[in-house]
Amino acid sequence: MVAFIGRRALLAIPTLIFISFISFVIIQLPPGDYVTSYAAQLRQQGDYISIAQEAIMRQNMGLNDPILVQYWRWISNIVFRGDFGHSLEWNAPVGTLIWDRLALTLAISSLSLVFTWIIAIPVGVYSATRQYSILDHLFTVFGFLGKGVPDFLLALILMWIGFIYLQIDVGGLFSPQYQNAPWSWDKVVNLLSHLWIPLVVLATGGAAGLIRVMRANMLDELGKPYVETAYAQGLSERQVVWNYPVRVALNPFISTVGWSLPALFSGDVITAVVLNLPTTGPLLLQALKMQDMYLAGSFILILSVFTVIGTLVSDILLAWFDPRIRYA
Amino acid sequence: MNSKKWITALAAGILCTTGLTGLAWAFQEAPMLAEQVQAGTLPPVDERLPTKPTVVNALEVGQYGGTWRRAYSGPGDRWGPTKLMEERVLKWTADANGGAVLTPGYIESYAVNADSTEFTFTLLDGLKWSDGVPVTTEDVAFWYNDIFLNRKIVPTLEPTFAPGGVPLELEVVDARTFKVKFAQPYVYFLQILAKDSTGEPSLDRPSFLFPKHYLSQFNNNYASEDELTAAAKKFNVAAWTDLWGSKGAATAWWSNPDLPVITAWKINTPPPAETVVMVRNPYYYAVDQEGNQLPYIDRIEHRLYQDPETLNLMIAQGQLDMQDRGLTLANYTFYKENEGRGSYHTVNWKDTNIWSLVPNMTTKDEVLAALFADEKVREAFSIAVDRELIIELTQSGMAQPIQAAPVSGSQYYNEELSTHWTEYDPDLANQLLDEAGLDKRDDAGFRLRPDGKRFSLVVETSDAAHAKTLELLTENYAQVGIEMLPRVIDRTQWDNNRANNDFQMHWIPFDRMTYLPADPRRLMGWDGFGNEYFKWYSTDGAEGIEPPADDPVREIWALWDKASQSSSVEEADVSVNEMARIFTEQGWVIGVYGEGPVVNIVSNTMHNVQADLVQDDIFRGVGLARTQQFWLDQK
Amino acid sequence: MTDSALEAPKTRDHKEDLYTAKPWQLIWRRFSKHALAVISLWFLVLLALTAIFADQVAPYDPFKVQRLRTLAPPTGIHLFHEGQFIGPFVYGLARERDPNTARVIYEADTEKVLPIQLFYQGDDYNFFGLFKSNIHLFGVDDRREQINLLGTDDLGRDVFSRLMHGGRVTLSAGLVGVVFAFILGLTLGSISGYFGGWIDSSIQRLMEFIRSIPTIPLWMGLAAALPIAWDPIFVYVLITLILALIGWTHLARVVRGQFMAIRNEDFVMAARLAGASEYRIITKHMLPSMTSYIIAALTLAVPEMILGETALSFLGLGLRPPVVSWGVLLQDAQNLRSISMAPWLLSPGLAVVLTVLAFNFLGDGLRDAADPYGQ
Repeated sequence: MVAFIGRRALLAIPTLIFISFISFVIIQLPPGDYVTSYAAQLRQQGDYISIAQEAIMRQNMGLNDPILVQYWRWISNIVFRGDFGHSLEWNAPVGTLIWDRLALTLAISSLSLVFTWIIAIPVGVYSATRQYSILDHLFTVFGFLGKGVPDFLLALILMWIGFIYLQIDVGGLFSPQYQNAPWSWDKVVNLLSHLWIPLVVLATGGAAGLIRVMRANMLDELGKPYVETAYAQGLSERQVVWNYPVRVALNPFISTVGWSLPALFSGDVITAVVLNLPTTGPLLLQALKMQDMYLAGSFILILSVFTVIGTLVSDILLAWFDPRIRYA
Repeated sequence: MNSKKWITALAAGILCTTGLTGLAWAFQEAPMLAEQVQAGTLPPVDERLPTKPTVVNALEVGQYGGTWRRAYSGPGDRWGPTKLMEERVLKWTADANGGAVLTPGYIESYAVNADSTEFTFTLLDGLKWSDGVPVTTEDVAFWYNDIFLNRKIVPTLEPTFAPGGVPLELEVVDARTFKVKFAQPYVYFLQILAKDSTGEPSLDRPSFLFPKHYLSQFNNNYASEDELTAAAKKFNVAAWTDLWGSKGAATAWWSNPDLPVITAWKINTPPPAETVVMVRNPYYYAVDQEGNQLPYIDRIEHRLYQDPETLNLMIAQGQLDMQDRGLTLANYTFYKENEGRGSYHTVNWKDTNIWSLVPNMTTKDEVLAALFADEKVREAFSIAVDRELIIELTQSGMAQPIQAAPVSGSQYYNEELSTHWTEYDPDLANQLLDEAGLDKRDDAGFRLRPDGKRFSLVVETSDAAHAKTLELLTENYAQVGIEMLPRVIDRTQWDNNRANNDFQMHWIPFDRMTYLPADPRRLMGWDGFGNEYFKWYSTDGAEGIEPPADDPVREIWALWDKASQSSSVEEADVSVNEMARIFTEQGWVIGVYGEGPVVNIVSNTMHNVQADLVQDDIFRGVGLARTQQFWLDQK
Repeated sequence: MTDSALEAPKTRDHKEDLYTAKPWQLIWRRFSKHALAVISLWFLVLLALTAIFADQVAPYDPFKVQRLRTLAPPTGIHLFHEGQFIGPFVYGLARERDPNTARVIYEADTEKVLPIQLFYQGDDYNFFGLFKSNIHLFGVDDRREQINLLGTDDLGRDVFSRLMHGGRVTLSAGLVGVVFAFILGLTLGSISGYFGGWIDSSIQRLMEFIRSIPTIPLWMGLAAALPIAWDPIFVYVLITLILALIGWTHLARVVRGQFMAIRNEDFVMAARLAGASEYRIITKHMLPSMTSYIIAALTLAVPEMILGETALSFLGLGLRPPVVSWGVLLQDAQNLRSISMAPWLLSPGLAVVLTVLAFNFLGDGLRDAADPYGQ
């Protein structure tokens, strides 16, 4: 196993170099550059900068240099000095920008992820063992309602209902008066009263998929002869179901669970935008749209590191959960 | 002067003084500052204010205190907070009728010589930076020698400050008085100052003034190479020049809380914070008519929002005290219906944008360019548009059907121009197109161009909110046999297409049709119908495309050259009026609608937000309403 | 089948029938017992038909602007007028603009009774360029009044008609990308899981790479690179195809995991010993053993495809008006203005949910029917 991990770690290096370069190129694929985006953004609000000013900005930011030079400047700083560079838009170090938002992002996304799993896995198992029961249908309809309505719209509707019918404060994570206040019991309560909407939105979207997959795989497993044999030997339903079929049915979930790692880091972007959550996702989205390439590039590099680690974690878990799997 | 016109013309050569004379005043200050004076951390108000502070006549004398809650959309919205507190030697402010008046700010007096080549300014006596250090002509000289003429900080000279290619000259007279001289008459200099301040590094800095006592440590004429490197490191930027520039880490008010300023508020919590906070400047130089030091409001909080819907939700929940940006007319009914819930009301201003179709006269498709050059085709383009329908359906019926011409209220307004070719007449449009030789049609009923291809036009917009307007225009044009292909594209691509002469027609807000001389480039082709022509003109033929010898755009350029060298405003205005006439009569830009309301959300506790002002970049947006005298109800 | 029916003795019992039936007959028999699945099947057939015959089913031209009918709520269908039964009809609408809020207010004009007509002659249309007609399934005969089953949008266009026409684009252009990504995912996942070793390793690295590519600038770059005069639907299909090239990783990874688990099972070994080709082992033995998962993944992919379009539009990319698709219609509803003042604009969302549910129940029915262990 150690050799396996070591080999994968070695393979990760060229993969990451390749990813970082291609991403850096792709970020700059749209027409124009950061300065063009900046000028366009100003123009939209009726403000202008002159062509001369644009030229000055380009020169100062080194945007006129060949892309290889820009790439080297960026990657060499990361490799040799651990410096992720400067966001062109915020005129602030990338590390600080991401770091400031990271704690909250991790908290929200891991909470919603765990929430999703806690709901989805038991419900999936239940739906399979009680196929076509009323509850099964209810979960199905509810799940697809979450899946079939865009997260953006669902969040908006929930916020509007919360505001008009429940008369609570919605949007963001805190009411304005708690925004800059020190932590207190009231602030925690206030946080919780805001947190349910993002959790519901994120969980309904994610849970529906997991429920369906769990249910489908469980149905396959439950029909197999070994399950009947187990029942015939007088084992209780709980023992039969949870000991083996669930483990096998979790295979697709485990195959991709590692990819939750990068997702944890960026959070759900669109939901965060509409709910005005101060997470890292909107930062990435904005950076990509503005071609703020040092911020976007560093962000993507971090995400790809997590993707590589996540794949490895999934592979290890697969072997651990399902004894039939062996890596040569 | 017609009181309906909201720009009061300024006669050149007059001497104007502000401030209070003869009366002994007892100045009052905000309780928040009085506490600091009590505690001994701040000198008393009389020592902080100039001897004769500038008087800003509040609409209603207000109460001190409170926090003004606002929203901002990120670093790109920097001008939102900036425009709340821009300082200029002379600034556009609203008079009682809502007219725009050039009003002296931190100067005691100014004078212009007879041929408008020399401008004299005298700073207020006792004017101080926000750290209490006096403002003197040393700071002006610092701006001139170490910034304006410093090619490391301002790499190129802007033509605005070098008419005829000769940069302005500065002469310091005494500790408070300085003269600005030009090689040729410059009648519109004061208006340009009011709009652009003194230009680079950024127009968010007060004109002529940079705090020498603080900034010299970051300037290469004062600090050594090592000191500069250390400073860059301290501010976390790559090179010392990054400390300057429009987003300069040390010199932009918005990113450096230590920077001394003369604005009414100064930054306290800079971005990227979730809530950007500004607090009052205890040394602000102005008082109201009763001698109360301004501003009234203690703090301004700008809350970050990422999506316009989030902003709408903040509004409906009553979380904003006054919001002037990010609002759209499409949501007008939404704002109105939630007034009760959010305990606010709307205050409407006048929009100066004229939403227009802009054909690219130099489009790469030569057959199309030839069609655009045909006046009959342009007239057909304009009269084929059912403006009333578009206004009714997309603007809640609240805008005016107007042509791209000076807007009503401007001193250059001319009703004839404003309604030129705006009458909806599809039959006449069809006839005109037939006469222009476009009388053959294909199976689908669309006209054929001289080269036998279908007459189709790709119209680009960068804002999905306008997709519906374009759909209506498509219908209008289909009726006269022109196929319009509306495309909503990313705004960067949109800008790029324009810069690269790679578009056929754009849908844009045509602005700056208010005080034309402050930015006449719109009339001259810039950024629109003749972007390549303007490039050719402004680079003396080095870049861009040369217009045909008889092209009327050449007349416009000649008129501006004449106007900018006139020695009196009256004389110059004759040329400017003529420019506007040629521009509109040529019909290069097809104005569709404009002059609708601009919505501002004002909470019921906020006072002194004047209604019916014009919203225009030239007047610096909300700055026209004199934000120092806004006030909030205190319990 | 006809042969056996002819030759079969009249006294044939049910069991014998079962033994002689071909697999697909068995599947159909079991499927038809699944009421929800059958209903869903009919629903989807109906949906496909309305998409094809949108011109006829929709009472109005989806682009027809009605300036005096903006944001009109859904028209109520009545049967009794002043206590008298006169068949299905609608009332006219009186329109007024609130001077303060600028909101348009409608009130039923009970004087004006408009019976609903079948095969009504209304707006002209050109059916796929085949023939021109003006016959619509239903409508009301009036120059100004309309029947708007789902209200109108802010340009006064009939939402029901737009929904019908939007189905055409959504259920055709949108599906192309899904199918393509699916085929890629299954193929690469099976290869990776079945062969393992360096093949697996390189496919896995490829996946890591693909998952890390930022799609937004890629899409923006592509959108800018394609000629602007091209038909937006064509551009959209092209881009979904390109995005499918990077959208297959999730499925592939799951298939690979499953394959690794079952590649040494007895039935695979048996097939191998029997000399089956690797292609045959994968497609006939291994993939069918995970039919359930594949069906579940497919039904989940359908809403993702429909909503993918809206997500992209939210980013300022994707399909845009004047194209009519469910995603484009939903964009119109994605704001507080619509939610609070014109909730009928949310109806495309309902259409998406119903379609997705139908796909799901159909999938369920198929799964049960195809399950060799099923009763």
